[in-house]
Amino acid sequence: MPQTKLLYPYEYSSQIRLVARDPYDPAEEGRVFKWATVEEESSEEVSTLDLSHEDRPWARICFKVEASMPEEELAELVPLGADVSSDLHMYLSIICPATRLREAVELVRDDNVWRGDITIRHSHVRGTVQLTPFLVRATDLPAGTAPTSGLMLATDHAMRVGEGRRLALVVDPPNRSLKGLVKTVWERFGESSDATRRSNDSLPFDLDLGGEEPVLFLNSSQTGMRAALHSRARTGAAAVMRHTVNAAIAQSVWLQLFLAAVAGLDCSEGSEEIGLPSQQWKRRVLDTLVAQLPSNLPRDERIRSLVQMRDDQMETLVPRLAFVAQRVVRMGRLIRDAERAAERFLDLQEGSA
Amino acid sequence: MIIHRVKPQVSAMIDQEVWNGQRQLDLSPYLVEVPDAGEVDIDLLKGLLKDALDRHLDKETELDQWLAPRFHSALRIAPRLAGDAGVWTWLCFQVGLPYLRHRWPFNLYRLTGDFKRNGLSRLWFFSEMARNGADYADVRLVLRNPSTAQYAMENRYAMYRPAVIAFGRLAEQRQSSFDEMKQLSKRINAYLSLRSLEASGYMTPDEGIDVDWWNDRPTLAEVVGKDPKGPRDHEVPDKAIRELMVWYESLLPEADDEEAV
Repeated sequence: MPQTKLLYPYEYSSQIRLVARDPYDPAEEGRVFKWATVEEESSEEVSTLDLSHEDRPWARICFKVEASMPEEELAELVPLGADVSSDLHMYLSIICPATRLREAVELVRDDNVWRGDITIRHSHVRGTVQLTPFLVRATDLPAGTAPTSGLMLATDHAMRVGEGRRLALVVDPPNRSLKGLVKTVWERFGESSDATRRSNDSLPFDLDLGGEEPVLFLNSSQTGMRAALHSRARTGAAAVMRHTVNAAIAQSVWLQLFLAAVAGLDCSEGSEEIGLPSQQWKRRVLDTLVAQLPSNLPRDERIRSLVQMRDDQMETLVPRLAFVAQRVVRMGRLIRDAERAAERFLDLQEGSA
Repeated sequence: MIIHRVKPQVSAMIDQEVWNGQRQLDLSPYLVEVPDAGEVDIDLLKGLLKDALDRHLDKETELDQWLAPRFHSALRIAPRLAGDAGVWTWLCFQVGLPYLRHRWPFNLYRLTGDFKRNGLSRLWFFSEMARNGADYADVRLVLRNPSTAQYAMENRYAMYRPAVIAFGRLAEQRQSSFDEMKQLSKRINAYLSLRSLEASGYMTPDEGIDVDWWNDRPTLAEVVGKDPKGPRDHEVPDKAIRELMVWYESLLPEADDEEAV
């Protein structure tokens, strides 16, 4: 896979390696977190630490982090004879966009490795927490300081001179364009209790509309798809795949939801009354659908036209529902995002060539 | 009252009539109880918002300054819950519409938008991000006018508490204009592609929380009083604020230059 190289006006390293280990909850001795790690290959190389499937609530998670980088790479970032510990400082950035949490923990260098202890309160985070190691110049360098390699060095304190792969700590399962209406479950289809999914174990997803609420089963055997859907990468193959997989699944799911909701409308022969579906989720889906239909008609008329098409003109109804599904999932935007992710990736490749 | 969230599908049902209070919206199809979220004192929030409107404060420069710290002090919820946009939509329908109508013309995002657009969540988040421990003084600085609020609170650097406080203090000290803050904000964002905000004014993360404050339920008299107090956690060292102010100031001459061009 091609690699991206970012350009900086001075020596910069993207070779910092971050390892997180030994997660525990100090309030619950002996608790073992099911800390699932998903490795990804993408331009940003985001790894995922998935805590979203914990079966019990947790109050705090504490874990150790270690950041390291090749000594020869490190030597290019400091002046000749400089002491790395005093000249460079390593931090771990902790960002949770949903709760506006942003802080950094300074790591301590010992034996060529920077180490630190991280604590995250469950009450302070939501969704996904981004953990990124970065290295900064700790002091202003005197003018004319000689670099080891003869290349430019960042000279001002607080300038970033290196960054490592980001870890995504998933606290809550991603809730994408289905907007909370559909419960999402990852399942290995080959081992499913459902015979249909078991016999279709190479397919990526299945929407189950037979229960109290719709459930979208995603096939966890599709490891590339899982990594892409968890990814926060903005460029590269993972980003392109995330946008396109989201578009494909979401559009199909919404189309099925619309069809199920319209099928649930009850219009007895000879009666003017239209009965709404008995299941609440179908009524909500219907609200979304009706809101997207031409608004020059009152709501009841719009519902009545759906029933007429269902009974007499399915070939008209289905394409119309497919259009609405594309609008609801913002299909055009997802495709544009995928295009941009690919273009940015290609630009970066060309820029580094 | 038990805290609920409103599902985003409600957006399709909200229009000017709902905003104006001319049509009552049946929220029941969209309501979900939030597990383990606890309760909120709806009467306290209603009373506080009414008190704020009754003061006839200037809505651009005085109302949010007065209200935001008190709203934060009255609504003691965890950031995790505050990060749920559906909870803010629910609160808007429960208590917020009179304030929203007074403050802004109809816009859907004042009811369903993200943290900085929802009319109530911005009061809470701006206070949470700009408070310095128990002291809300810096909240008033960043809310001195809409442009300071915009540039101090809405950018990515505004997630870092010392950066927010430093921006507000510098804007107040210089009585910065909209253009000056805009240029400064642009400069900060540009430099942050090479520079670390945290290393420019470092604050060790505060792992403690003021449990007593967060668990206490204040009265209306306490929150409308002269000087509400926040929780004694997340205090920012003066050194971090000073260092960031020095850095921001070092960017200003360049901002002035660009403005002149």
